[in-house]
Amino acid sequence: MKAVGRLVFALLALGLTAVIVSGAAVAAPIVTHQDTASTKAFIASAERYDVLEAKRIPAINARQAAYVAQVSSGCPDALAGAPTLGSSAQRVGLLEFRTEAGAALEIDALQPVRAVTDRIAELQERLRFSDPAVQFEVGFYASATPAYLALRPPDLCADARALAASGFERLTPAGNAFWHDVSTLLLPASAPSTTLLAQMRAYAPAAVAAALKRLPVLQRRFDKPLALSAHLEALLRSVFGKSVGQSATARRRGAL
Amino acid sequence: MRRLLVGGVLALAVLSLGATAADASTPASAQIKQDRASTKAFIALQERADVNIARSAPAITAREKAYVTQAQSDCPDALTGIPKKAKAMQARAVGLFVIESSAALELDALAPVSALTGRIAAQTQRLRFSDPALQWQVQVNASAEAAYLKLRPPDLCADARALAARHFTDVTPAGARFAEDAVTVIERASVPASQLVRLMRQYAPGPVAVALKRLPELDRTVGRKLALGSHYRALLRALGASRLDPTASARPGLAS
Repeated sequence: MKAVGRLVFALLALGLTAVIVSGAAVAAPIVTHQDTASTKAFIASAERYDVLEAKRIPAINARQAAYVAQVSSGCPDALAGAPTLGSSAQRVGLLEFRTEAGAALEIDALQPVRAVTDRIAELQERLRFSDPAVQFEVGFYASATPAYLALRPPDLCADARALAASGFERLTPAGNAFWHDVSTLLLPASAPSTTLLAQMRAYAPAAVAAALKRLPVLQRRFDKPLALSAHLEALLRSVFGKSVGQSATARRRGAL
Repeated sequence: MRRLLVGGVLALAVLSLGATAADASTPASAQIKQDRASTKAFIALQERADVNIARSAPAITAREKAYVTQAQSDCPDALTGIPKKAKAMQARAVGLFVIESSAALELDALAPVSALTGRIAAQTQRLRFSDPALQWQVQVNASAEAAYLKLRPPDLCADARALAARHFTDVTPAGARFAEDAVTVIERASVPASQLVRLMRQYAPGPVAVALKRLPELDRTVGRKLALGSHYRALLRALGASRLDPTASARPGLAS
């Protein structure tokens, strides 16, 4: 445990965090001009990112298709015969592989927007807020996406073969390291800008209210054309062969 | 910055696997001089921070006592009458007050070391690692610590009186905001230094092995010298709220 914050952390460990998720009335912070300016700059940067990414959708999709084609020809059916349920070690191994495949596909596909992501993250990290917690959160989320996109995915086919050779229980050390890094960065990197905007509401109420409506609309506008989920499905189908379909059927049966 | 599509799909799966994550090992090619130097510097900074706090323990303890004495004279028994069986709203309000009061006591007590601790956090943030996930974790931890030290606690006595006046159903908005901020940054900073050091093992195996023995020892020394827990109990007693002590075996105030 860190020396600083140990008392509060010890209390939180006793389960007090739950009280925070409560909707208790929270004081409006003291608003400075800098807070208002930073909030508006944050909104503008988030929108700029969305617009710039939308422009690169064809390039992103082309990379996804190329990645899927490369894996499909590199190791078709490498994981054919993977158990639908299997032991707990196999379930962990297979889930780690799916995570690795999804992250590897996404990181490769989003390289055309990496420079934009880095620039916008730098800009957001330079914004200044009077509330230390808001300031921290802005840096926390802004730095996560560039870190995620900077990860170097290992050879997916080598991992598929290693997983099959280990009875579907283990990835390669490189795959395991990548999985560990992804699990560290995925949640903060996946958080939408609106997560933070809610905390900035007091700084620029009208601008935040408008952004909270506009940003999700912008996001939805390119969620569909990006089709990352469809490409991931195609990638997994090529590596797992029929077993992806079998497990989907089993899941449906379980759900019913 | 944006909701990563695969990230969103996989986030839950990764979370469910978090506990079973195996230790990561970065490929040997990624080991560079900078990683080794940063690892050694990180260890040195963590040790310096702990030693600094241990040395300042008498000053910290004196401030804790003074804080409790002040509360005792300004608002003795302000929280007398906390219901034995709290309703949901009361449990939430009281929980927020526990977080607020513990963070307020701790932040006041740490004033003698906050300048140096802040400088160490700033130096830690400047360290560079080739693994983007490790780099991000190191920075997040350091910046969370710095943000925590910058939080300004509200008037605890005023908040205790307000809580009692509202029949323990609500804390003041300022108190709620402070508690929320404290939880936000403390949770992000909760990765122990030794856990981060373990992730650096491949960069400098010898120093890391030594640090993994020394850091927990230093941590225990700091824990013994600080006695924050007993001063916090004294603070709750002064406010007439001993039953709020979440570390006591019986927790009637928070039981429901």
